[in-house]
Amino acid sequence: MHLEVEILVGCALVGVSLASILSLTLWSRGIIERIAESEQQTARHLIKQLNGKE
Amino acid sequence: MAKNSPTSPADSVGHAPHGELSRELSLFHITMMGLGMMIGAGVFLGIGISIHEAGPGGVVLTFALNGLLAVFTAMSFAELSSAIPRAGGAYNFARIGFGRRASFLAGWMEWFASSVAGAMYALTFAIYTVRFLCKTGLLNLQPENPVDLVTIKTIETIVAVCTALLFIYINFRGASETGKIGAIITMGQTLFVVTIGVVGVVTMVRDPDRLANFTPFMPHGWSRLLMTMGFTYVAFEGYEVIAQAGDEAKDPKRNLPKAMLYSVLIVTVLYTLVAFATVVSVKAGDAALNGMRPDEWIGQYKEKGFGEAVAKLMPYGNLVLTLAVIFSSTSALNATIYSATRASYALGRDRMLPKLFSRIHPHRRTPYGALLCTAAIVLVVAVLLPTEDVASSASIMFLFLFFMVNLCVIKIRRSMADELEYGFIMPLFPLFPLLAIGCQVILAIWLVHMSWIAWIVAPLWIATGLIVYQKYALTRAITTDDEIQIIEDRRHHAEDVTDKFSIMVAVANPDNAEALVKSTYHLCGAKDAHVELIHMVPVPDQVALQDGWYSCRAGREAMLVVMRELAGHFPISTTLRYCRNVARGIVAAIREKRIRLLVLGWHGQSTHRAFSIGSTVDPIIEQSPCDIVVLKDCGPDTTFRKVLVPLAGGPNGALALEMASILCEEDAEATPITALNVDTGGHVDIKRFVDEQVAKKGLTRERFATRTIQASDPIEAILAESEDFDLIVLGTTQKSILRQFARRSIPEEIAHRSSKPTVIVKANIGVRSWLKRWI
Repeated sequence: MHLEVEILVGCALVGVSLASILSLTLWSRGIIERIAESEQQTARHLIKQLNGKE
Repeated sequence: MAKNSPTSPADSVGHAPHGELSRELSLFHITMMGLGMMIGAGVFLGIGISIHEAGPGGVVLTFALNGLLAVFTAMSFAELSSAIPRAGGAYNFARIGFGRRASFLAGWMEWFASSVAGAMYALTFAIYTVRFLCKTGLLNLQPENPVDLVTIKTIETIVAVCTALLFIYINFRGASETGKIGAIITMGQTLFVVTIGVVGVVTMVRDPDRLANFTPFMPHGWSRLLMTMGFTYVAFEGYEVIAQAGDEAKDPKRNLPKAMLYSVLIVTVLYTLVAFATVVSVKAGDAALNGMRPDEWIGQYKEKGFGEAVAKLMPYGNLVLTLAVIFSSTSALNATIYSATRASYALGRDRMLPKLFSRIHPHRRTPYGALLCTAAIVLVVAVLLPTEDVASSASIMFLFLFFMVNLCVIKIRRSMADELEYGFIMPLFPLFPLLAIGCQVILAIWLVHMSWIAWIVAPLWIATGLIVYQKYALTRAITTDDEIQIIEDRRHHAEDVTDKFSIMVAVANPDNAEALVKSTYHLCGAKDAHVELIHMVPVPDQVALQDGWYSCRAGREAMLVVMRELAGHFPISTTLRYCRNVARGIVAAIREKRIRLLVLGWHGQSTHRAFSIGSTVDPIIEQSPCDIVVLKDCGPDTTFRKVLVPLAGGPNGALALEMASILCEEDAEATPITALNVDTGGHVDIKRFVDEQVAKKGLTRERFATRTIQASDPIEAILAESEDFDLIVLGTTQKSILRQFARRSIPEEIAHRSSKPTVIVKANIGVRSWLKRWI
């Protein structure tokens, strides 16, 4: 692979990885907070609730 | 499994009752415990080797991509820990997911892996401390001198033992001290690591030419990246120790998952930063490089490459590095002793190991028996065994554990989604556990090439564990709350029914049994079946399983009702069991008894909008590995002469037609069964479909008529059409479970609204069915 392309792909992968980890962490944190406010906490209820259907 | 309250009753008054651990660890403490476990020897050794193998670009990518992989497994740990926040971590998850044997092995491997890792950290601490003392002249010993070398080794061993003993004592002092002291040490090590990273970035900003150190980016090709990722994966395993803190964390349902995700995020950023700083630490063309490229110069030192680079990066680099390693080793040592102790405590608590392991100190409220046994392993390994290969064994076992945990999260979500109270459920399930499983397989294979001794030690320890389980744990393990207790399992016939078609009839009470008898009689007659009557006694979480006897009476009467009608015609067996959840109990019995068809009654109401049919029937339909027939309003006085079978060409069609044929009276009119297709644009050739299904099941074609009607609303159309019929037979939906959560499907909606007797059927089509419904 051409050097510039290699560096570009490498930097993109690092950026995407870090951004994905941050996004997943924040997304999960949001889910945790929403679940903490809910009365029913079984997975079936939560999936429906988190999808805004209940 | 009992639903776990966020805190024990003792928490409300601030004192734990006898035999329980105290809840004193906050989100900050448990996050620091995770970080302490992660920022250990792995990253310091891994950076130099990664530069050597994968080059300057590869080392940064290694840690960034590994962080992403780690977060996948961390999400599995987070979900399970939030639902099962008890000491034991992977051990508990494996027990609930796959039973006692798997859980024993999980706990057994976890105990060994963490203990050996603890010994390795104690030795790392000792080696770097003694090395620093020698370099500064405080110890007048020369490693080059063979006599001094023996003395140095002896001092290292003594320091390692003393360090291990100190942290064993700290763990004995209690979770609070463990967490607080660990937090202080972790903050120290984090500070040093951040310092190295920040100095690296500042150096690069001041001298941008150093970015040229990334050329060539990956001199040995991209495939090496996989090798370095496997080698450094161990540096991301700290979320496992967080899972161990379930009994001691405040508000564990919220804090455990948060701490796991935060710790992975923090270490990934830190590792990436430090890897970057290491690459730019030396300047190309420096006389000290002897004409080598910076990455070649760092890489030649392999595991010491990070130290050599940091020494070049900043003033007092050696001192900073030594302090960082000392802090990280002691922090990781603290966390691993904690983790190993809790793993063995959980085994002792469930009587899978001797009682000594479950003893809690009356004042300190720490599991001192488990701690003593863990200490023995740590000290023996630190004194006697070579650490490198045994550490590889620990890594393999951690990979096995994480693999198991990713399987557990899928299994438990599938089978106990209506029982456990979750504090976190991962999004896009089951994408992340499946990705993690794939990656762990690759990394485990890579470790085979790292150390062949590890592949002797690891199976040997597992084999020993299996012997201990077979000879000790199997007979002594206590029945836990999530298990099912069999009260009665009787055969009421002398016939050999091995090859007979087996029909299970689940009865709840005499009224329900009365309603099932007639249809069951037809089904058994048509199939020449053996009947298994089952009654599950649901026992509330607050009551011990063995105390469920008080509600057995209705079930026994129900069984008598069915037996009175069927015993003279078919071979019958009965089984009565206590359980926490009726659906899970029935599914377990179906698997155990290899049932081909399950017959259930349904009262026609759903207790909660989250369920399509009902809280018991829905999970049974989703999980049972057999055909299912659910009967609504098919009481003893009903006679079916005209049957409507709405069809849309799905896999339940054949079973629906067969059930219609069996339940419809033989002396009914010429074509008593009508297969109805509502054309909403799907263009199903109903005649051809019925021909195929009838031929497949060997039914009499003349009994079936076909009809297609045009309608925009299939529910209203079928309900209107059903007015002229005695019975409706519906196949369950083939929509995925997740889509059903959003909206009740057509068959279930019809079943709810229809005033006619209704039968819902689901055909078992094996793995395809499972995949379709869940993925």
